[in-house]
Amino acid sequence: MPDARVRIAVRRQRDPESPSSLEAFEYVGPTHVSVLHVLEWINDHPGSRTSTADAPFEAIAYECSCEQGLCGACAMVVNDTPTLACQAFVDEVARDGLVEVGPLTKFPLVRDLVVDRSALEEAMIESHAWLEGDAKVTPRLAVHQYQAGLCLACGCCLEACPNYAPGDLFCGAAGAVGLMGTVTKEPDDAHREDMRRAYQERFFSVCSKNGACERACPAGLPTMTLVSQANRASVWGFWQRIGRRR
Amino acid sequence: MTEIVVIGCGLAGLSAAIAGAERGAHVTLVSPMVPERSQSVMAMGGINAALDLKGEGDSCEQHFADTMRAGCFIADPGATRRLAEAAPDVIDWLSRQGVCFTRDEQGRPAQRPFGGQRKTRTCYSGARTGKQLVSALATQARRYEASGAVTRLMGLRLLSLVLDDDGACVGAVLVDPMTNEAIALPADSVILAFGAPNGVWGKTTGSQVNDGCAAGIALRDGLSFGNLEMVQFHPTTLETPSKRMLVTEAARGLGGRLYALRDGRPWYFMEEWYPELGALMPRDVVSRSIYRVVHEMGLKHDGRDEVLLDITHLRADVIERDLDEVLDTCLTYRGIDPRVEPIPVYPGVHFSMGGILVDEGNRADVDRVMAAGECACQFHGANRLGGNSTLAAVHGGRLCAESAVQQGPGASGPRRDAALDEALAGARADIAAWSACGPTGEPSRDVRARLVQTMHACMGIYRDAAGLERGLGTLRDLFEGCRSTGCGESYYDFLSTREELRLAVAMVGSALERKESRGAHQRTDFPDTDDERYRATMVTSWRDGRARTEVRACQTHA
Ligand SMILES: Cc1cc2nc3c(=O)[nH]c(=O)nc-3n(C[C@H](O)[C@H](O)[C@H](O)COP(=O)(O)OP(=O)(O)OC[C@H]3O[C@@H](n4cnc5c(N)ncnc54)[C@H](O)[C@@H]3O)c2cc1C
Ligand code: SF4
Ligand code: SF4
Ligand code: FES
Repeated sequence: MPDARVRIAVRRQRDPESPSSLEAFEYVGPTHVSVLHVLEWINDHPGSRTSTADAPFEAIAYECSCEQGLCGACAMVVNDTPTLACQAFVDEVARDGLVEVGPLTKFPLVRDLVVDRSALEEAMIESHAWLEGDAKVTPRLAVHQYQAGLCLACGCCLEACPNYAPGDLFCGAAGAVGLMGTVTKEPDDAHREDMRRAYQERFFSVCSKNGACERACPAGLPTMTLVSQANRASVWGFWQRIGRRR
Repeated sequence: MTEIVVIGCGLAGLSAAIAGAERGAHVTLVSPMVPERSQSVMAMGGINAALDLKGEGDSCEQHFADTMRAGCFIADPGATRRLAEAAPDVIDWLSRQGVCFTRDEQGRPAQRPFGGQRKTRTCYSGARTGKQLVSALATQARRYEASGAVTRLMGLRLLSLVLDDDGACVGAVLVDPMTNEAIALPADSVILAFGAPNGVWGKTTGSQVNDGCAAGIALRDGLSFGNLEMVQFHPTTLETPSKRMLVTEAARGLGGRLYALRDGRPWYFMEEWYPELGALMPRDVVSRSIYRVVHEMGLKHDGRDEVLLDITHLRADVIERDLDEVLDTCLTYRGIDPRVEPIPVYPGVHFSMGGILVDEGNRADVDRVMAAGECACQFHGANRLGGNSTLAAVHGGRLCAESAVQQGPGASGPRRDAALDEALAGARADIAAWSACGPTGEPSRDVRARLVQTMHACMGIYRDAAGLERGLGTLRDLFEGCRSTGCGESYYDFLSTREELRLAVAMVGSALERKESRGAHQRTDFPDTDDERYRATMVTSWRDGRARTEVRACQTHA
């Protein structure tokens, strides 16, 4: 792999109160590397900074764990697209030799590329997305349950969703997917009804089924298929019938 | 009500939190990141239990025997027997928690064969077992969070354990690495579930979050560690710019061949050396063979420390269907198409068998501290069986909670408060002292680079006294250097660099003292297994500013 030069612009913000700014760097190295790797490289090569600045370089803050697309930690916006930085390769995403990296914008900022995604979990708690009874096994639904279990809680779907704004009751595809995973396994009628109501209020009544979430989902979840199945069955009456029969 | 603090929320931490809440305790779950980001989600292969669905006559006894044999007989026999016996119930419990296991025609969790075991006993969930386990358990932890039995505190890391005058643990101090804010949490018991110390190795197959800092802290604060020299190298990993990607054993299981170029022609060394099993020999044997080929015989691939794994003779559709993971990894990260070209591989650090020494109830040797999962030492001896560590994490986590609830409330009142206040004040003073001098001394990235380089140089697949002593000297110097200066870009960077070095010193010390070869620990100066002296646990603790290792009989130590 020949070395190349790529301009990297990173949105920096010290804390939620400080102003944000773009800082520019020049990455030199092989280009079939992930954006995550480039961030690591920049932190190891402070001299790569090309913007003029008075202050000494401070390491760019970002989250990462698995570095192989399995954990959702590194979700950020790369050249206007919400994605996993460890799965975005410089040679594939650069536009005119430039890669611009910023934090997800629909979550409160912590620092630089780190955001607070606890809204995802809070929505699930408020939707009562858990099991009260022992999980039911329904072979027909196993594929969908398996897919729901793959959600990375990365937040890319909310970033891409035109109908979601921070603080909304609406829980977006992540919430819908999570609810489907639990409601189809729940043997307890009353609790299933709870989740059905949450689904209707927090998802069905707002989602316009435009599919932006599915296109954005880095886990490749067919969010539209999962969701439309639920909707078609008169907003989950379908799941209830299955529940009764067993 | 019993107050439990759990450090880490992978499979072990989640299992402990749920089991604690089920038993009426209040659990505070602490971790730098949410469960979905834990290393546990990366497990693909599966989870073992002797269910004997195939009528092969499998039994818990067999599972126990296989585990002990793989561990070269230095695992805790009592605890390991209990692990094997509990495994079927663990699968049932997980299933009831909502894990969607792949199932057979009768709706039972299906099983498949998995490395080093004579029977078919590995349950799995498609190609993402760890992820499905974590998803289900995180969902159930939420139920207790909603009821108030579990409190999640994310974004925090362990800074210290707090002990009272009697030496019992009364809580923990935690730090937010982003803001340097420290808090103290009182607890009747603290359960440690912070995973493997990947940071001391640099690139591994695992998660970057598991840096090893918490293990260094636990050692400093008085816990004994067992068998720290026992580190599993996965024989076939693929180098990428930021980590080593695992190339699954299935690639060899389906017929993949390992070779090196000798005089320009492929030489299938495993087939020559082990005609019967070839590349399907156990992990440690394959790793050692690759090492010999590359280092002793100097057969490098393009000048790099690599041999070649060839699956090009397999049908493309077989690769696409059964080895899609391998295909995907090679194409995505290296632009290599394994359907038409060989995959360059080399052993990479994969799993820690050693860790916090615990007894049958997962209790450490500091009162009111328990540990489970990959940070604990108990079940895996000198080598771990594939599919046993997810099992150990879930089973161990549940046992920790049982022990904590059994022990019940500890000391409370002014003495406990004083201990916590003092620890918090100490932590804040430490942070303030670092902030006052800022980054000084050798940059932490250089220190870490030397740590990693030293560990690979002396603690690799083959070890000897000279190398280990040299390594120990270097690590001690680095540790002292970083103690007296404020190296590090942030307080947490400073703390973790120092604590990783402390742990590394202990690891090398333990390796020096085990003067034999066993499982993952191979000494060229002591090539034989010495059952008389070393069918035992190497116990390392930190006393008077040094790591000290002693040999102890491998029974439950309590
Ligand atoms: C690629 C790969 C594949 C694997 N496949 C299998 C398999 O098929 N079968 C099998 O049995 N095993 C497998 N393993 C091993 C197995 O996944 C792990 O041993 C097991 O999941 C460990 O669980 P855990 O809960 O102990 O740790 P982890 O899941 O690593 O969780 C550690 C937790 O501690 C937190 N933490 C880390 N540092 C700190 C700190 N300083 N303070 C506070 N919290 C902290 C982390 O955020 C995390 O929440 C695999 C491992 C890897 C890397
Ligand atoms: S389909 Fe559209 S509106 Fe509905 S969740 Fe997805 S992105 Fe949002
Ligand atoms: S549905 Fe997809 S995009 Fe949304 S959180 Fe889950 S993995 Fe991320
Ligand atoms: S670091 Fe885990 S998905 Fe990118």
